[in-house]
Amino acid sequence: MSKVKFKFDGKKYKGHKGDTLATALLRNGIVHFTDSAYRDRPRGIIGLGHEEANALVQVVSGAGEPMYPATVLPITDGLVARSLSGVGDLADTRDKSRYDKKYRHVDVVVVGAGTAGLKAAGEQARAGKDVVICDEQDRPGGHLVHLGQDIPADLLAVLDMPNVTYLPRTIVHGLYDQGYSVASERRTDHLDSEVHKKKARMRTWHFRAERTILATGAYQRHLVFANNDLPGIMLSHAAATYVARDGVDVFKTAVVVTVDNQGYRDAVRLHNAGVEVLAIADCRQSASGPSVEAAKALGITIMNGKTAVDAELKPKKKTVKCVEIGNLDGTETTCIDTDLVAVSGGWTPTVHLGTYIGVKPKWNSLLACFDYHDLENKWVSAVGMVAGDFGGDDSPAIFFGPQQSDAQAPDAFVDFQRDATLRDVRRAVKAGMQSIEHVKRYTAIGTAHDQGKTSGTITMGLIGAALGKQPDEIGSLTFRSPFVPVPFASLAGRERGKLADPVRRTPIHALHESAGAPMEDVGQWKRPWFFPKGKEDLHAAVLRECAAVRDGVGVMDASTLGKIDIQGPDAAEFLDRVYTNMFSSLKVGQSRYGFMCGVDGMVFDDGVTTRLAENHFLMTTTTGGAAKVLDWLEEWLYTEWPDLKVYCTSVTEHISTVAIVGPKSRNLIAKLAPGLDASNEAFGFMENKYADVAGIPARIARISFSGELAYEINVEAWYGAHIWEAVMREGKEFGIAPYGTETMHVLRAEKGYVILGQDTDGTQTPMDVGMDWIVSKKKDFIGKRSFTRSDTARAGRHQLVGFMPIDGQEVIPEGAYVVEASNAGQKPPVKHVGYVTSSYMSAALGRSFAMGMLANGQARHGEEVAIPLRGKVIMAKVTEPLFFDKENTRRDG
Amino acid sequence: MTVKVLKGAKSPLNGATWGKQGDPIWMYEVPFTPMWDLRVDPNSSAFSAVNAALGLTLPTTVGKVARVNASCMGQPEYEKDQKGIIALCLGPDQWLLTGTADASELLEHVRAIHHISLVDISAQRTKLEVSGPKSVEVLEHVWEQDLRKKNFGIDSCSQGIMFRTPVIMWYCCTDCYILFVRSSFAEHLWAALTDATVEYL
Repeated sequence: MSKVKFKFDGKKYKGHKGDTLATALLRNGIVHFTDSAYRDRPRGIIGLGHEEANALVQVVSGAGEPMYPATVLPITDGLVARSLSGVGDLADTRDKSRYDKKYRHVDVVVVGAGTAGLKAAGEQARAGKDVVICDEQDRPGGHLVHLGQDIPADLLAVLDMPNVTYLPRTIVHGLYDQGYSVASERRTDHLDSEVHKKKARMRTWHFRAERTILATGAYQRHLVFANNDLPGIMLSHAAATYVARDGVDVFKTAVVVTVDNQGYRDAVRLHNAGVEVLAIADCRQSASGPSVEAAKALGITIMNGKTAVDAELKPKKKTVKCVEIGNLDGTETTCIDTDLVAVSGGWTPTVHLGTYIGVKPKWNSLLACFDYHDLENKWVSAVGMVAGDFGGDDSPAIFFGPQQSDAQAPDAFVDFQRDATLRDVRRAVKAGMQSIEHVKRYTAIGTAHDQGKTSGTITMGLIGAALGKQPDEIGSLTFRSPFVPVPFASLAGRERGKLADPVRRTPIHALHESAGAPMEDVGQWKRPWFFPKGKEDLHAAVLRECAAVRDGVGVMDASTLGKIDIQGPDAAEFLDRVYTNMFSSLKVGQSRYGFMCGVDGMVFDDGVTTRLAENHFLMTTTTGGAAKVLDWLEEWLYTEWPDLKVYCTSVTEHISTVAIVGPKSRNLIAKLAPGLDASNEAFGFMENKYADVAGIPARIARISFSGELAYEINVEAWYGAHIWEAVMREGKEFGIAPYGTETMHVLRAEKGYVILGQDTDGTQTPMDVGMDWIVSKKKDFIGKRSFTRSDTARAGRHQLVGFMPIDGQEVIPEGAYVVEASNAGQKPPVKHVGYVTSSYMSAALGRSFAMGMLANGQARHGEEVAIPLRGKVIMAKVTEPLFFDKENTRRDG
Repeated sequence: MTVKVLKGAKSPLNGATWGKQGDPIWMYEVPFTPMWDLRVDPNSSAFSAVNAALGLTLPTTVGKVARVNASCMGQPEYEKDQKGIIALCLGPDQWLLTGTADASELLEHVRAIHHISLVDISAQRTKLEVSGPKSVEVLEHVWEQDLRKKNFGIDSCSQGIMFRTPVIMWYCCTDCYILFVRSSFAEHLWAALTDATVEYL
């Protein structure tokens, strides 16, 4: 065994590699470990594993760990840890360790590699099942590991079977419906104290299994008596293991206090390891069995019908000085001076995972515990101690502690980590609580990091004792995942930083990046926001880009628009039903702008749809609406109109779209596509032509989202970047300016075009946004019926208007509320009558302008309203939502 | 290739590769792979017409793959195959067609008579090949679905979310998985996949 050096609470220690911190500290004589969280009482290590209620540490070295039991923390060279009294700190530096996940489907998951788990795994594997065995310890054997005994060869051989995967240091902390379980594997903490960036420090396993076999064993519990929390009072199995297996020699003398034969076995182990066992206090009037005989044979004093009633502290050393042994009613006590009080309060089977999916454990009065005997469940089975198979001669008494006076009760601890005592339980019962669920919440028992692994059954016993009932009449144990605290980083796995969420990129994305364009998030898409020249800020760049489009030519990447191929003999009829306006009248080769409403008559999506052939359309949707619109169309086809012969296919990413926009765009398209007659006579507004652009077959559409003459070049997405480069190259002589989403927003707003989701929020009808003309009176369509609902049809609804600030240099913040001008100076609360949805500085207008919703707005053009802001009021004139080129003279160039 | 790849074409990952043949895991993009979305009612006369034209029987069980003249992607013999067609059944009336044959040519006369939909979506997704003895180990990091051979054997396919990215997976031959990923997500998925290999390369 190699020696390692570690630091604990600022002091240097040496230990054996492979030991837990608890073992190493006990070897170094540390019995008083820390002080309790609420009452500052001295506390020591009491347990052996995750049941540990006292000895919490914060790991400072390596990846760190804010709160972890010393009983399961392996020591490695360079480990630095400090003791906690209940509260740890999150590190303020980023954890650079790697964490990952794995998903595995398997026939059987066995939880626990003890004797019972290995036996069950072997049976399953021999029956041809693929088996995963998860075990929290670093080696197989479970209880045998504690005893320092070898595993029988036939069980060890199970691990070598080809269809068995054994995962040590892997704790299953969640079990869910349909055989889904989640486990954490610790893969580097036992190796060293380094930060591992390549090998994942922790791996979260997601298993889906036909059967999960619980072989989770049991935790020993303590007894409730005054001062039962003093350092040096430990669970007997833990104490015997530290002494007998690990050679801890800090205890010279011991008193064993027991309710079962486990205490006798531990007394024998302590004795054989050189500890003088002064007495075994057994609450039972008599006991028998091989364990008892073995203790008797060693001459250990046995006190039947006796138990620990109180204990006393050595003030300086802060460890136990003596234990008072007396009758179960607390009388006739005698004090025994001892270094160690080893308590065996019975075993509590680890039923947690089963309770997560609602499988109730049953009370087993022979073993004084809740367990899974006779468990019948489609997904879960139990073997070993958790199934009530203790395999020994335990015969425990149902006993949780002696009678305690009101003076003793405040120091008789039930949940050490929460400093919850017998007095708290008595108060709860006195207040009328009878259910474990109520008492738990009242006393906080079971709410600490250990979730009451040692205290749960005791609490039920104590409530029962107070009410004169058996524990099973109080209720059942219910736990919640995770079984042990789990770092968030391990649940996130690799889904952090750049991998946290997908970035969707258009085929032209790399060119935008190298042009230095800042990106705007549009859903998961990244779209260029603006293209700064030199040191331009957003404001300067947008004014320049807008001017370039209005006076010359600009280019924009419109590839993110959703695109849906719609074909079939009923395609035109289908579109008539989903759009508010008519599409069956559209000529082949032409495009039309359409509005879609939800069944509530509110605007849902918009876009331009092109008739490619008699029965073949290409719909465009908003960038964010692509998936939602396709779902919507499919839903109607599948559920309401299965008779319509129509198929829809997403082609959003198959097609890349480059829009060239501005009075000089005709010259540019003519240069790019020499085969195209781009004259207004040959190629009118809303028409489509096929031509080669820069050598690539393209569909060119005369669609405008700015009011300017514009051409959208649609090509297979592989050529998007090629087209962009050609446009930039050939557009140079026209002073072409690439522009981003911000300029697009200004240009469309100048024309009063709404952006769904910015100017609307799902509560506007087409009429509310002034689009009455797009609503057909001749046909039925989704949402039409809702237009006659009284609230939808009423006068005075919020309607889209323009807001022209009186001071044309003031840009109203988007989202600002609008109030009546007469209320301009009034202090809040002021009734608002509208709000601003879009607001910009316009190069074309030479002033600011805004759009928004205003109650009865369409009837209020020309009036003045006020926009109160912190510290000032902007006055604005209400106008129609159209600001530039009101006669539409520019769209044909 | 029957889809003409013209000068200036760029695939989403520029033909990225990771690892090399013979490594525990190797991956590469297969750029410019022809793909079509086929919709046809399996209970219609159109269905048999489609099968006859394609020269295979479209599988009607979702998650099954049929192929003709396409022994295996990525293998040398595949490249020699002519007029190969691979059909992945994605839904009760939906197939992804890929391969060396030109599906639109094969189905042209069927489209003229019957109600089917055949849409060229070659650039909608790009194709990735994940190969090597550790391919399952790597995919287990990013794919929640069952990869066991008994449930996902050769010529099985499935749609799902891989690392928050929509993916169609096809198990095409021993230790070789084909992923069809939406083009806009390709870089993200590639980053996640290459990242998942670090303990195996």
